[in-house]
Amino acid sequence: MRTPGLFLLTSILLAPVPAPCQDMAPTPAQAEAPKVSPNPYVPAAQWYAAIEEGKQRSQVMAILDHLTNRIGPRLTSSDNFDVACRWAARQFEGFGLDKVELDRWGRFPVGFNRGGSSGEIVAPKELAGPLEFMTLAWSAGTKGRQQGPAVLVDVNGSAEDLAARKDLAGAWLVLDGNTRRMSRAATQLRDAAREAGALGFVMSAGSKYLRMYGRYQVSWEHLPDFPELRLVSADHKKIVDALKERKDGAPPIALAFDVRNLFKQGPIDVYNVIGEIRGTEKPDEVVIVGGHLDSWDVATGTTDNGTGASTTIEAARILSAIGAKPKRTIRFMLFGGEEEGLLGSSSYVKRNRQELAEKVSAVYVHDGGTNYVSGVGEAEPIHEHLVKIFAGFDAIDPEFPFSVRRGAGGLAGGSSDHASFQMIGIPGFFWSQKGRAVYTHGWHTQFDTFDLAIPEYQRQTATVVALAALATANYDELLPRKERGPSMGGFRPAPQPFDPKDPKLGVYTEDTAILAVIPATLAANSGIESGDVLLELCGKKVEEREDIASALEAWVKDGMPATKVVVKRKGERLELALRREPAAKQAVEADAGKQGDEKEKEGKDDDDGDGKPAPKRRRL
Amino acid sequence: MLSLSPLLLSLLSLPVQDAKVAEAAAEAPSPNPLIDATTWKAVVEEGKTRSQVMRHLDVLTNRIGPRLTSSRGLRNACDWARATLEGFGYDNARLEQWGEFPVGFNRGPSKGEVVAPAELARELGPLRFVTRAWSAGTRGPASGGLVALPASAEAVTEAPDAFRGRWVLGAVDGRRRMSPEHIALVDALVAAGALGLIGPSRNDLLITSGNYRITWDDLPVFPEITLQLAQYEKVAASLAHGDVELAFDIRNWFEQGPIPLHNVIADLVGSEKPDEYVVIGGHLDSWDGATGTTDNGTGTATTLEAARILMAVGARPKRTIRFMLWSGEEQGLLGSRAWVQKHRKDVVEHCSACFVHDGGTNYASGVKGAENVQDLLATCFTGFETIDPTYPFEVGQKPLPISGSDHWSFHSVGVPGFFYEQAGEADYTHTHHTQHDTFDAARPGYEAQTATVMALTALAVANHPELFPRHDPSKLQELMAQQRRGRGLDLGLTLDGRKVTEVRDGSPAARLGLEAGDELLQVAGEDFEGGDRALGRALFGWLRSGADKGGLKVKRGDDELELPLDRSLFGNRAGGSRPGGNRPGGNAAGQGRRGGDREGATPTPAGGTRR
Repeated sequence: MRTPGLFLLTSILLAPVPAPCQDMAPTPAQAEAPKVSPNPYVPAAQWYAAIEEGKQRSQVMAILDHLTNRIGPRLTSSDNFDVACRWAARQFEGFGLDKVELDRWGRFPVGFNRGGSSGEIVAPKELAGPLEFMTLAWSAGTKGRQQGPAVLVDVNGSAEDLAARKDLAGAWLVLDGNTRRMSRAATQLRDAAREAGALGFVMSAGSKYLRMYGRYQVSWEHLPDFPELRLVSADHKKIVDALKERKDGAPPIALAFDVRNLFKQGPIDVYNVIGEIRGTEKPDEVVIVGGHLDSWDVATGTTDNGTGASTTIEAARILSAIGAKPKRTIRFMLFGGEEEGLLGSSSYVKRNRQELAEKVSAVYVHDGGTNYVSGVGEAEPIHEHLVKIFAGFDAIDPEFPFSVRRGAGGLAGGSSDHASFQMIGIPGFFWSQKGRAVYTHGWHTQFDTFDLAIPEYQRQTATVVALAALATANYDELLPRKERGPSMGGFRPAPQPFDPKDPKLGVYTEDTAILAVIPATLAANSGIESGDVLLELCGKKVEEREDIASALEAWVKDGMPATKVVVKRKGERLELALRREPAAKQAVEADAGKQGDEKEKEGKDDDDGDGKPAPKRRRL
Repeated sequence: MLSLSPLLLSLLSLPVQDAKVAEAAAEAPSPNPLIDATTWKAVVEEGKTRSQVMRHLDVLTNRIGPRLTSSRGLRNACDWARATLEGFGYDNARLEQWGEFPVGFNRGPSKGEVVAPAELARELGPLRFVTRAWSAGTRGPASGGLVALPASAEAVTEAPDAFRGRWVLGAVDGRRRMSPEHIALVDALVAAGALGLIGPSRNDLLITSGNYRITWDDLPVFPEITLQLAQYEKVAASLAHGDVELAFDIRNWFEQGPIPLHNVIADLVGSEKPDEYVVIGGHLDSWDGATGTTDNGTGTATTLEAARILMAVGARPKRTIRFMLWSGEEQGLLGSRAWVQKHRKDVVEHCSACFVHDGGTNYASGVKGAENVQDLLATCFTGFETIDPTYPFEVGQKPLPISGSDHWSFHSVGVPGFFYEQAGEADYTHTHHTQHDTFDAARPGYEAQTATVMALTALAVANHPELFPRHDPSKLQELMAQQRRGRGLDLGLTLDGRKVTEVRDGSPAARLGLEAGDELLQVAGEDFEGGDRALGRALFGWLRSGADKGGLKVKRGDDELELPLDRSLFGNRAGGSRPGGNRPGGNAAGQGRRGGDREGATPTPAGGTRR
């Protein structure tokens, strides 16, 4: 209740008397208020009208509700994604946007839809109960309900040994051991198991999180046919323990799964959804605001990225509702194929490269979950322009501070669709966000449902996005082009020198496991490698992801004394000195080269085994 | 075992013997006078030893999934079926739009569980439930305490806090679902912020149904869950002793319409009389509580397989063979009916007959028809019992086919429509519209046999010198009334739409006090749309629901009257045993009839449950 109260107060104190020429009908509250806009690029009437529309008459939660609860998750190539694209285009049309189009950026070989699924321990009675699990996108389901005994299989065992076993036919094979990094050997295990008539693999997801990913490169003629069920670790452990304790001759532990992973013969057309408000003075020059519409499909894609899609749609609604007449064109973009590697946005950039490179002032992408947008940042010379454009944004709602940071440049702020634009030198921004939500809780997991979204944050963000678009569209000039980083292809992050004001280790992690190391960071300088698992940092135990940030903060506070980082590598404990600077130039280059190779190799392994880790990871 | 003989022969015979075998085969007369020996043999061999029918069914049910009319699953299935037919060599395979639905409905995963008490959670495990098609899901996971369903809306409006954020448990008689009292109660619960309503299933079977007449601007918002009876009873018992908390996450998805709907059609064009045709097919759509395997993946897969077989053996029928896969069947034969109406003149003049397979996985064991078609049936189906001695086949007589599938759309305009009789070990009731209707319910041997029978049926009928005789469709109403009277289900009145035109003396209608000129507004608590079939359906549904009392709302002049409907009016034969049969093996013999509990079907006895 506190937020609406404050909003009301804000609008009473700050709402302007509209200039006579403006078409907004004045309300009594507005009649009392001052008429100065806090932002030099948005006239007072529009500034306050946008805030009122965005904060008092918000539709952002209704949009999100529809997107996540009525349409559902939106895996690229799924029917839901197609439904969502068409629905979003209708919204844009309904707002009266110009040039609304479904921009077909590609075709996927097959479509993938998820029907119902259930899994349970059927017997023995004392263990019976539902199992919490997932299967990867574009992977095999079962052929109806499949019940069979659970048998234990060592994930490190050989395919020959497996093939020699007689108890596999009609059984669920419970993989014991670390399956997260299954590689080529797994392919052989799988082939042996399929050959023997096993029902499928039952493996651990590694934690309580079911974090979705998948490979879309499957063909209709050779659809996946061997189910691999990833159980939350507790459920997996329960079965493994029971199998290990089971005496010979004891009644079997029976599992049943009915998993409806549904496919559609392709090619499947896939789209970005685009609409715009034409600029009055420089219609050829463009500001893009957007976020990706697609999602993974283990939940309903709420904070990744229903929140960003809904704020984009809501920003379009707000600006239409207040009759905004920007000088430059504002283009609203909902991208597809983001989760598979920024496919929709990068295709769009490639196809329109010439036009975009010179004419797009900036791209603002909202793809960081439900926390409110709290700022934006870039290195000079762009930074100084941002300071002007975002003047007064911290006054939108005192509850939600906003600041312009001086960023490090490079590929800033995580891998999302703004990166596709950065690659051709267009300033692309990923909003900074703050708030009480924990992004990683919902990110690609089974928990990413509507209830995670925080209404007051969503309202604030949509309002900021709308005003950012307007201010940038009305700004004096196009933003200067970015210097193009040399290695920004794919998802290689740009080097990020250590900054004590914003201490980061420089890694992408899943829980405490290192997925990737960002060049020229603490982690890279210290010799941390992907595949390592963090144990200690700066003398503090690392048990969960959040420990990394707190350890570094404490270390910075202490004046950054010499310290170390302890990791587990290939099962062994390894102590490394924590280095802010490269140990020696020569050594770093060698390291970097080695890391590159490692990455290549992992990529391949993963394709054979556990699939490719999703490109976007939490960076710490 | 005969099904293996061609294969065995080819494996066992020495090269020297090949010529002899081939000679012998060529000389052997065809078992059927309308199909030459070579073609007969080739069809049987293709259908029985190189069968692809389970592959079609696998793709249809496991890869494409359920195919609710208006869902993307149906659309995908239509596209796939058309492409599949084209792949067999049917260049004319096509989609023909027959209509549209206002809103599309797709179903994602859903789950439910007991949160507390822990013992109950352990005892029950995952909750087994269903929601109706085109009904509301939850908005993400919805967990809340449980309260009992109050008697009236007032009880809710007086104490809304008791229902806010709670699940509501209570049985609502199926026939009362549409009553104003119940609607008011639900409205009150929605207003109070209740999470949803949980009622019991009739037995262990979770039946999916639903009403597609919803609008985009007024999508359903209140989840109504049918919980499996055994679990419901335990939850209810636990609630009587203390607090219970449940959690559901139900993903029911909607698409803004209009959603165009199609039948899939392909022709094997006749060599002598290409304008005349025989229709063979089944409906492609399904309910979406499972994957629509025995209703009607099996009929779809066998139709596709029959098309494949005939193309593979290079069959050259004299008349055209038209393969048809309809949709909207589950909502009342909508696709076939619309198609027949659109092409009515052509159908009546040129369509010899329509054969439909829509009775589950048991093998096609015969065809029955009226007296006037007996001669043709006997000729066309000569020798079908020799296809495979494991699977007998016989022709029989019955005045009227069941009206619960797409052949009825043809039959009702005067063109004989046939619904294959089926026999076998599968229990249709167990899977029909239930949670068990998944791929594992299908039986490969039966499927291969049925597909072969369908291919040969099409060929024989297409080659017969004559078209099947037409019948007078205006006589059907009387025949149906007779049939219903025979089952004790007839009210004893004649209807014109909703208007009663005649009441027979001494009939249940007369005893109820119905008069000619009355207009039937509601039957057993449900709005009455008019017509003889709808009346039969409503009465049958009410009787099967197990209710003893129901209402008949009647408009007489300017007055509206409520007449008390009573089970005793109909005698003890009416409506089958109750509750709905889940007797194992109950449908073993004489299977192939559509169960009478089928939505959109005129009452017919449900297999073994009547015996």
